[in-house]
Amino acid sequence: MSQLRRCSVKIKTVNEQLLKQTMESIAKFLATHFGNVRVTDKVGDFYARDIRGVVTGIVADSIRGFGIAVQDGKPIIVGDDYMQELTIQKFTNMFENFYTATCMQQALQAMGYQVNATLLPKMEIAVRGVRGAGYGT
Amino acid sequence: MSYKRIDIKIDEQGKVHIDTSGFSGDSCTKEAERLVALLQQAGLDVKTDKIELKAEYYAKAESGVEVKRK
Repeated sequence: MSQLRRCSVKIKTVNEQLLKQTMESIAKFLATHFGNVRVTDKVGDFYARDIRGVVTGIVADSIRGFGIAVQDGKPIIVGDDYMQELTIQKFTNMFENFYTATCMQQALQAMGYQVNATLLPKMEIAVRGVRGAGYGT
Repeated sequence: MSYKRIDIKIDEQGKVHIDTSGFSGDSCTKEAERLVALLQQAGLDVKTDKIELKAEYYAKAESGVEVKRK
């Protein structure tokens, strides 16, 4: 028996290790478009002052930076997108999808699946988990 | 099929589509629920909007039906 299930997902609380893993994936993805994207724990505002409470974030030569601050376990997206190609709204959507995908991969691995993830057009992400006799041998 | 597969797609609106294959009986439902429970433990708020049984489920059910002809 097989089924299709559609779910709505929201991030209630974040895990710092998964946050950092997520930011590495976002940096790799953005590097294909923006060049040298780096993961950082310092993100500046419009006046280049460090925004407090940032756990992890990304910067690039053409991106002033976006980061994730955590308050009571909840993620808060921070950064300044004035005159930037990547807006805070786009970054927020990207972060939510990548973080969900990272959680999915970790959960499937905990269930004994071999996992791989692929980025599809339109910012969709596919995660496949496979387990069973003979698979991958 | 000797292996089990779970395909997940996160669409551009952030909706999550979970497609299970290769399971017998209602084990696909249990496996999908186990996945959802792990995601909730990880801090995600997951609400199931819709569940559809796939055609292969119905195909199996139909093959088990005896057709009597007069």
